[in-house]
Amino acid sequence: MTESQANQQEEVLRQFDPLHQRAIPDKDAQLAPVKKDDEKAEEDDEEPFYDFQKFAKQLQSPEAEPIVKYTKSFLRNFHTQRVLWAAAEQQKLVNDFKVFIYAKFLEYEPFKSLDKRNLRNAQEGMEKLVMGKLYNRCFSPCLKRLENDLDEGHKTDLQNDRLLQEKVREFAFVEPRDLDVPSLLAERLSKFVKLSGEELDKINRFKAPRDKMICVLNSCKVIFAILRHHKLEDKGADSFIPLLIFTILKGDIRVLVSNVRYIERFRYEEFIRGEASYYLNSLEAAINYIMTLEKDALAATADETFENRYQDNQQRIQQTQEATGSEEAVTAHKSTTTQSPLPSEYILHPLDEVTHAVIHKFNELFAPAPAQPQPSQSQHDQHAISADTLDVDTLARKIEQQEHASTLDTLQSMFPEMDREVIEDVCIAKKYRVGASVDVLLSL
Amino acid sequence: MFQFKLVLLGDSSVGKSSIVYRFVKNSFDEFRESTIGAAFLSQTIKVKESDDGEETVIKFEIWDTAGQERYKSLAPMYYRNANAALVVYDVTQQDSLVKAQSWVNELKNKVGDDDLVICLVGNKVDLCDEDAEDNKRAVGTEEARSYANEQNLLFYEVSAKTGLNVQQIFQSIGEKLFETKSEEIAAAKNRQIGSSNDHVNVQLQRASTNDPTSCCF
Repeated sequence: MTESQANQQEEVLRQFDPLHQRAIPDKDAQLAPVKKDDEKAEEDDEEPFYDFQKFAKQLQSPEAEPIVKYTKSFLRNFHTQRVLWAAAEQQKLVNDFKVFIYAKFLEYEPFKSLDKRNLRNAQEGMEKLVMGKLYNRCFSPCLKRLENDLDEGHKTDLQNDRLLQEKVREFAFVEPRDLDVPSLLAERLSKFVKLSGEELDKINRFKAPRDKMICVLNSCKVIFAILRHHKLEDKGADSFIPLLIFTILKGDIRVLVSNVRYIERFRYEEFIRGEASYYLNSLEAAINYIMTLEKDALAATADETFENRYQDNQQRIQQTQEATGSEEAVTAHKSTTTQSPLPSEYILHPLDEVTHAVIHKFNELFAPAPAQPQPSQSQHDQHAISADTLDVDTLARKIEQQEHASTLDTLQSMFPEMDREVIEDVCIAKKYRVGASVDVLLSL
Repeated sequence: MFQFKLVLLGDSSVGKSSIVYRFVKNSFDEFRESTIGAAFLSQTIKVKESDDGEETVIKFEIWDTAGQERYKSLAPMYYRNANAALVVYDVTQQDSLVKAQSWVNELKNKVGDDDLVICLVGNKVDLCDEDAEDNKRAVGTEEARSYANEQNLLFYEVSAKTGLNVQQIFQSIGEKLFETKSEEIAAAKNRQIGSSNDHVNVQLQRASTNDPTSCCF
């Protein structure tokens, strides 16, 4: 690969880093009297700089060999010593390893001489690498097939995923007024909430705890863009929390509980302070609220139409169940007779493929690939072929184009009165960051 | 730099978020806009150390809660590990003081930490003019103050609208925290001696309770 190709690829890859999307400060922030020195930037929870490939290169340098050895040994032990660890054990093992290896960074080049910012980049890279490798063992939905043999931690995640889904369906009909969602332009609200839901749903595209966390923050950003536009921002949590709950109820986001637990368990504790901690906590609070939501409690404060709306929705649920019932029976039957899908199939969505391919490439040094909990030859073959034939550069472009087109579509549906070209211009100017683009479009 | 977690409690109509918004926007210290939105804000203040006149920087991380009755059950997720709580009522609404009092009780019962600094704050004094005919005050200053004294709370009447006393709330919470945590702070400072970095962040939040069980290879 020529140097320019490499640079290009790096640039493309960086665009897929969710945090990179936040690198440019909001326009409000630019107005604020910012006096930033390095010290101040360091204490930030948010790190606008993240480059996985850089870490991958550092890891390939000969001096980094001890780090590679420690990491391989850890991964091997994790995979071979036991097939199923309890969630709490996994959390402890991964955290202990990070504490250990981050200390080792200070002993070995090229990490030893990195400045604070680049060291943080390497720490993030290591977390992403390790959790990418352990994802199939650590993310509860990946272990679904083994549910009966799981520990309480993973089992509870799966149960709560189902509970949340049931509750979301039971209360999907609620109106903003039922939840004290501030009365905003009704028609716009549903589109905005769709958007914040889509941002949150992206959590299922990523394996690294940090990337998942960024999806949570991006979703919250969209919610605040709505609030800011309606001059409701200074109402703080009074308007934010109801909208977050509303987003989850309308969004029907897959395996959300498992995702939150996963971030809590595997995001390095020091990286999740301050703002990130607040919004993760709020998401958890919103989930708890929905999981414990009872019809009577909601009806007590709602208007007289509530009972009818509730019953209508119950009917709809029943009809859908009847309609899909036979289908489900077939699928259920199938899944017991044929191979269940590779866990990564469930999780590995386009955006992560690029990083995955990169990990895979430089990570051949971590071969032989550790076995899946229930390995199956054909799955391995499939996996290997797709990674080998992957042209990272082309794939990255393709995915990028798809992403941009889908962002454009979403925004167009939110702002039907605007020219697509105008929206596209705004998107380009804002580098397709949804939160920022919405901010601008609202002000037009 | 010492960081403290401060949680905001109070009914949704009392303007608790506005108080913090005012504090964060108006403060003299440089302030970085929060990156997501106004439910989480942070701001620093300076506290004088009594003996040598030296100043210590305190950073508040301010966690807002939803004040509507239906979201009351979520509050424990916000006030766990807090170092300070601002319990806000509206001086023009008698029942908002009753709600504030129930928050104080809950904090005292559930947090069970003698070090938790609680400040009772009556907002909207700009609507009160003792001599005017349309004086909207419904909660007397002395009534609230004597309750606060009884419960050993800090107490302020403020106006988020005019900014009256807003800065003082945080200043006195900071001083109280500095006082109660002085031993920890001194210990933390000693650890910093010899370090080239003067701005080491020292987290004084209590450790999280979800300690993973120990296990090893």
